[in-house]
Amino acid sequence: MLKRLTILTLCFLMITGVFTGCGNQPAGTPQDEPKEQEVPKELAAVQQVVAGLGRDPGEIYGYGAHPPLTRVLEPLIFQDLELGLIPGLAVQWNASGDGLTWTIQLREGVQFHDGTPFNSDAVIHNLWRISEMSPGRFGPVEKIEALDELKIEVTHSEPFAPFLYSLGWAGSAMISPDAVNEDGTIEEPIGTGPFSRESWTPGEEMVLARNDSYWGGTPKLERVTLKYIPDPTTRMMALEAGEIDMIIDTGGVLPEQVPTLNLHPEIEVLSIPGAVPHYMTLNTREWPFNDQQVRKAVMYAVDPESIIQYALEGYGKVMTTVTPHSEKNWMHGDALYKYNDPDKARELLEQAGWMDSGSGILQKNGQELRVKFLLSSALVGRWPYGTIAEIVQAQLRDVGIGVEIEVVEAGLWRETLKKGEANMSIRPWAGISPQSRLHEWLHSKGENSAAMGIFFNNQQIDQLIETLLMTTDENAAKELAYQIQEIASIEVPIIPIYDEVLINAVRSNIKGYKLHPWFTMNWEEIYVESVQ
Amino acid sequence: MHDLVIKIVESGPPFLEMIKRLKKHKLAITGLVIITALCFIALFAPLIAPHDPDKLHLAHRLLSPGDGYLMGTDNLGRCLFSRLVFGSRITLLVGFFVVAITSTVGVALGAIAGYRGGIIDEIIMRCVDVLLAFPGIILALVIAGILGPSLFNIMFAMSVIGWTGYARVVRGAVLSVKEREFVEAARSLGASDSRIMFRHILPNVMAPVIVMATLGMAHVILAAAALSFMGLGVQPPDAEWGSMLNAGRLFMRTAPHMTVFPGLAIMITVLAFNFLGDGLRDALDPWLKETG
Repeated sequence: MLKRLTILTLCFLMITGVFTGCGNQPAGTPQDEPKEQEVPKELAAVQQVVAGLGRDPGEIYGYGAHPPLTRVLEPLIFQDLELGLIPGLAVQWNASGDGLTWTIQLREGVQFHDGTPFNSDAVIHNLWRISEMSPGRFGPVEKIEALDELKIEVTHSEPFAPFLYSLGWAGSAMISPDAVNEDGTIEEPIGTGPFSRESWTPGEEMVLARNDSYWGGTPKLERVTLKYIPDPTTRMMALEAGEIDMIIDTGGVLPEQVPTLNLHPEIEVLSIPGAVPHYMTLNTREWPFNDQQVRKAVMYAVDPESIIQYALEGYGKVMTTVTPHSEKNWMHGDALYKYNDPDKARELLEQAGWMDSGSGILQKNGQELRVKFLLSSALVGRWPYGTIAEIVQAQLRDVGIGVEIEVVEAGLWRETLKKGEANMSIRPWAGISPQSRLHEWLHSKGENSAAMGIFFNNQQIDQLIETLLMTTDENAAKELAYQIQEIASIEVPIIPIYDEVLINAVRSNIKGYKLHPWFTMNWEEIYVESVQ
Repeated sequence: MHDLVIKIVESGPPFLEMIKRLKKHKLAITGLVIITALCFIALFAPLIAPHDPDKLHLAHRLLSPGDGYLMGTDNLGRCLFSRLVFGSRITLLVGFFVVAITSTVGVALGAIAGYRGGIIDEIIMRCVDVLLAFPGIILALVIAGILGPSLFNIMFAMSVIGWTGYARVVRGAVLSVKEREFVEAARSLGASDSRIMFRHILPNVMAPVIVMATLGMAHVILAAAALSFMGLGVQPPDAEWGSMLNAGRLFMRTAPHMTVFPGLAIMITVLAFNFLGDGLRDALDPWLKETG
């Protein structure tokens, strides 16, 4: 009996010994043990997050890593949560009295991920590279000189008012000169940010690794995976299933998904007013929107209020001028664009000679007033454009305009619009600066005018915009901006529909995330708490 | 006397016999009843639908079934029942159109291949092989994608890929029928090729084609719904079951009726055609006749 007891006890001790032995050696590194105890209790042992988003973070801006979303690359100037300009890779900047010469003091002790020092030479290399790629981005640059190792001077031939905003824009991020080929193409996104790009599988995912020597302090996360999930339902279900930890970016969570996500106690929905206005564009070159009366009738017929209430579940703000609320200092005080007045729309169309033919669709010279509303399937997966288009369709039908909605793949969408083969479309536009926004949309040589097939050509507005870009006096500049906005609301080449309220969602063990109006990720501040 | 004998051979399996056998098949009758009902619904859609299917009542959006709307409303406040009723028109139209085109083309090409043989047979059947080597729905997706999204384009795309099955079956049947004595007899009597084909061979190969066409309806309806679900078919505001299903996806948890009803409609229709097809096969199968 005693013998048996001893054997049993011995066996028991051996078994417990084996098990506790195993437990003491996780992943076979017993040396790490004391370190782990130093970590605050609530922090998860593995500091990694997987974030889902509706577009490929490697595709935009040509860097191979979207600067605000990945934070692999950084611009000279940052924008805070109120969109004020704050020091980034530049710590100080001054303009000369005539507004022609800018002196920029750079941050000390910054290195690119490849070890190349960040200095005046690197910045000058970058500024010329970007100017060659998109002429005029930094204004009429005459020369750029290095005053010393960390100080540069940019001289313009004419004053360029939005210069600082241009430096702070996502597309003006600094890249290591070694990462750029002689023809200006970028091989690897080697920047200065808190994370570097470890790998990128186009159309699938991008993995970011921590930059231990980040100038702003070592980030808490070791690794970030950005998963490109174009379908909104799949994106939401991935978050619900715990496959991803966050849904980020503008157009991440769709408004109609919020009630479903709110059912989960472990998921937190975040939202803030963003800097992402959405515009409906009209092709002013082709029939029937080459007639200003018809464009105005469209403006009177649509009702952004109902779009916001029913398609966006309230996650949006009506825009009454082309300048969004995020640029409120530049926004015209009056409600310039007038909406939801179908009677006025019918009246305008009648004045323009459109007659009811009995079918409910108006006619003129035997031609029915039918237009094509072209949507990009990539954008439909991020914003409720399908629903919005159907509401617009019904509202235009109500005044006698027939709308054919067509959803096509993103590449075809761009091609068709560029060729002027669609009558209208809708897209978001975050914009570089208040001044350049007006240039991009309304100037005859503006980037969006050609790309979106608007082809708006108005000499008065062109001149005003050109003057605005050179006007450094703030009051005079605002006066010009107001004038431009007034003309826009009379000519109606574009119809601002709504200012987006950004919606993201995170699992509740993800801490430290602050939603930025420009959807810039504060990856260096985010960390993972352990789940109880 | 002589004439009479030939007539009996020509008429093939008696039609009445088939009806009698079909009547015994309960599932097939159920299918037939459902399909007939669907045809009526499609035909008299404006009389049956209580609301305008395309009219938005934004204030009435996402209402549950009941509440003045039989099946509730969708995210734009449109009556779901009315949209389903009008959607049946498109579903049946696509089904009948595509099956009519594919079966006609398939039977014609299959018959020519089987009857002529030689190089013509080679060419037609290699085309069939090439088309069959592609996954059908993917090819339809590519064609519809290139041509742009519209109802006509998906019907065209499905027609391009759908005829191959018929051609194969018909060719095989023709190959065996053309060796039969009555064909020999007709030929020796000096009948022309077209007479032999239309009077003697085709009536004898129609049984499998009818079964295939009925089951094909189910397949085509499902494929059309899938293509519309991916946004390639009908464009808004027109109602189509597949695209309604897609629109409801975002509201699956909060307004499940938006997906449940179109899903049920597709399922019931496809089942009905499958039941009928099964029944027809049993009724038309000559082997079953002998054993049963």
